[in-house]
Amino acid sequence: MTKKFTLFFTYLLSIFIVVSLVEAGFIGRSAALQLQSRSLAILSSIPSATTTDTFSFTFPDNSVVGSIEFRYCESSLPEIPCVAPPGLNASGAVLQQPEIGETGFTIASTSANQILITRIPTATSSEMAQYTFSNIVNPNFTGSFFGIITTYPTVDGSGAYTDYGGVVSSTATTVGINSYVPPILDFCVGQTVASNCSSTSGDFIDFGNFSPSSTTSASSQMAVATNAQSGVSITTAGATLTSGNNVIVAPSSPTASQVGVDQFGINLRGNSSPSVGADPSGPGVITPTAQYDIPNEYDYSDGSQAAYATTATDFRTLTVSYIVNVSSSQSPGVYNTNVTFICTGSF
Amino acid sequence: MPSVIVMLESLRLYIKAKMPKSKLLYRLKNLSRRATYLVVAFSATSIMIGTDIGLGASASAAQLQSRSLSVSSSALGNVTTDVNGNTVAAGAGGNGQKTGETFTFNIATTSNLQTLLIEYCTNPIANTTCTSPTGFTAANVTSVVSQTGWSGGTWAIDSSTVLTGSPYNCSGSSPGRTNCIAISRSDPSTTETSGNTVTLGFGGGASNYITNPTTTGTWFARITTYSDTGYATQVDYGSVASSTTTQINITAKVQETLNFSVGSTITAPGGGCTAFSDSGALTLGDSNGALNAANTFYNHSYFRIATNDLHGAVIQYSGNTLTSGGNSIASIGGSATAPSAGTPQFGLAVDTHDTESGSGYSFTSLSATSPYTGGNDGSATSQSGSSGSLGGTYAYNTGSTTSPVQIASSTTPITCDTGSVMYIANISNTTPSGLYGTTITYIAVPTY
Repeated sequence: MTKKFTLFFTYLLSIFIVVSLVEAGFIGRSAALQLQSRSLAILSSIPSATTTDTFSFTFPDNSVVGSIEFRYCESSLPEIPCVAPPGLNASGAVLQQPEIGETGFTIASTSANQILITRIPTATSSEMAQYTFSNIVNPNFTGSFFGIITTYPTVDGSGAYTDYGGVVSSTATTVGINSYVPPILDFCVGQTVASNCSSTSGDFIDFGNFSPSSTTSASSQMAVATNAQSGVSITTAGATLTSGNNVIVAPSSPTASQVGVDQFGINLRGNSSPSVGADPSGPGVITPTAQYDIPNEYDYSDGSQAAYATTATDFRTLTVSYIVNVSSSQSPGVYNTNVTFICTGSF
Repeated sequence: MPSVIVMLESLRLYIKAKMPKSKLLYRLKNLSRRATYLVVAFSATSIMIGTDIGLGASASAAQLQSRSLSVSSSALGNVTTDVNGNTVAAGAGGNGQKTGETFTFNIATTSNLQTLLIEYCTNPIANTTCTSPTGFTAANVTSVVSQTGWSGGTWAIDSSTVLTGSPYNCSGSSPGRTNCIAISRSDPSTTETSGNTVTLGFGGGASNYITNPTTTGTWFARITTYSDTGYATQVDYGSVASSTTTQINITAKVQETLNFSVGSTITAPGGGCTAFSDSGALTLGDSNGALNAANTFYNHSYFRIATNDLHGAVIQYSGNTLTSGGNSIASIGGSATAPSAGTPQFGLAVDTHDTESGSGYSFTSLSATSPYTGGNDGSATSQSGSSGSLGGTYAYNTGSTTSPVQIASSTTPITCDTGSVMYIANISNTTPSGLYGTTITYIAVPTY
C-alpha cells in the first residue's frame, strides 16, 4: 500500500514538474535532435560473453529528461522496427555507479534488448553523460550490432521522445595465443665450460707423477640450468683412482689434504690448501652438497650427491677441485678413473 | 468581339420570329454552331494579330527575339531551407527567397537604347494591367550583376525615375519597386545592332536578390526597351515566362556503420574491405610451438576496420599475459621496451613494417598509440619467427583485462584500415614448463 502510494505520488510529482517546465518554456521543442558524441564501449567483444557496456553522449540542448531508453537492435534507424540482435540479453543489466553527467537515474525496467532508466524530470546540461551497465550478454555472432539511445521528458519512457541517437559496436574473433615451454635441463661438463654451456673444452686431466712429498691437484667445471620446479641434483659416478688392484683410497668424510697420506678427494669450492678450484658462480641457485662444500676439505664417494637445487635454477658454474696425495708405500703404476657427473631434474 | 456578339443576338431574334418552333430550334442550333466557329476563328485571328503587333505595344516597337529568362531557383518565395531545415545559400536552387535572374534576348531594332524596363506580371501582354505575382518582389535588386553583348555604356539600376501609374504598371516607389526593374544608362550615341544577343543579370546575392512568387504557377516578365532616358520612346518589346514549382524533397538515412574483424591469417581487403574470417589462433614458438631462452619468438594477428564515425574511433585490446595454470610469462611492461632473449617477456605492438604484400599493416586514418608504435620484426612479409636479437619495442598492460587499453585511434572516418599487431615472447631457463596461452580481445569504439 505504501509502495503504491509512493509510486502514485512520484507519478503526480513528475506530471507537475513536466507541466511546470512546459509552461516555463523548457519543454515544447517541436523537433527531436540527435544526441551528440555518441559511443558504445563494450568491455569484451567476445560473442556471447557477459560484459559491461558503456554508453556515452552529450545532450544537444537543455531539454528536460526524465527517462532514457537504451535499445539494442539490428539497425540504428528509429523508423525501422527494432529487431533484437540474436543472443544479446540485457534483462539482467545493472546500472553501475558513478553515473557521469546527468545523474540520479535508476533502472526502471529491462528486457532482452532494452534498458530504461528513470529519474525525476530535470533539465539537462551540455556536459558528457555516461552510463555503464554490467551483466550484458553479447550477441552470439561476430559482427555489428546497434544501440539506440532515446530520451524522454516522462519518467517512464512514454509519450514523444525528446532526442535520440544511434551507436554501433561489434563483436569479433579473439586472438588465441598458445606457446609451449618445454622442460629445460642445460648441463655441461669439461675442463672449462662457458657459463651458459654454450661451449666446453677438455675432458681429460693428467695429474703427472704423484709424490709423497707434495699434493697433486687439478680442476674441472660444470654448469647447469633448469626450469625443473622441484629442483635438480648432480651426483658422482666412478671409482677412486686405481691401477689394477692398487687403489688410492678416498676419505670417508671431508678431510684436509695431507701430504704423504693416500688420498683422492674432491670438493666444489675455492681452496687455498692447495690452491685450487673456485667457488660456484652465476645467477643460479644450485649449491654444492655439504660433503663437498667445505673449502680445503676433500671427499669422494661413488654415487654421492655433489650439488643440488630445490627449485629451478638459472645457469651456475661449479668448479670441481681434485687433490691426490700418496704415501711412500703406494705401489707404482698408472692410476686412473672416470668420474661421471649425472644431473637429474625433478619437473 | 462585342460587335460579333450583337450580330448573333440579332440573328436569333430574326429566326425566332419567322420559323416554326421545331425548325426554329434546328436552324438556331445550326446557326449557333456556325456562329461559334466564326467567333473562334475571329478570336484566333485576333490573337495572332495581337502577337504580331505586340498586343498593344507601340505600333513602331518590334519584338525582342530569342527571349529567355533563366532563374536560379524555381522554389517558392518563402523557401529558404532544405527538407532538413538547413539554410540554403542565396542564389542556390533551393532558395526561392533570394534568387537571381538572367535575361537573354536578341536586339530586334537597330537603335540607340538608354532605358529598359522589366515588369513582373501575371500576364505577358504589354500595356495591359500588370498584376504582380503573389509574393513576388524585386524591391531588393540593388545592381545589375551581369551584362554582356551590349555595344553601349554600362546599365545601372535606375532608382530615381518614378514609374508608377500607366503605362508602366510599377507598384511601389523608386527604389523599392516590387514588380519592376528599371535600368538606365546615358549613352545617346551608341547604337545597339539588330540581331545582337545581349544578357542582363540581377540578384542572386544575400542582399541583392529577387524573391519568387509564393504560389506555384507561371508568371511573366515584360521587357521594354526605350531610346530615351524618360521611358517614353519604345524601341522593342517582349515577354518571357517562368514558373515556380514544388520542390522535390529527397530524404535518405545513413545509419552508423562499423565493420570490424580480427584474424591471424592475413587476407587482402579487396574493394569491399573484406573482413577476416579465420579462427584467430596463433602460436608463439618454434616449429613445435616451443619457446626457448635463447631467442625471442614473434607472431602477428590483424584487425581490420571500416566505420563512418564522425568523431573518431579507438581500437583497444584486452587480455592477460601468457599463463599456464598458476605460472605466467611476465608482461614486458607498460612502456615501450626492447625484447631481451632469456628474460621472461610478453608484449605486443603495431608493426608498421609489416606490409604482407600490401595486405598487412595499412593505416590511412588510424595511427598507433604510444607505447605500441614500435613493432618491427625486420621483415615486411614474415608473419612469425624468432631472433636472438629481435628489434622493435613492445609493451603490455595486464590491467587491460578490466580496462581495455587503446592501441590505435583515428579522428576521422575510416574507409578501410588494417592493423598488424606483433606479439613477442621470451622465457628464461627457469620459466616453468607447460602450455601457455592467452586470449586477446580487440574492441572498436567509434564515436558519432
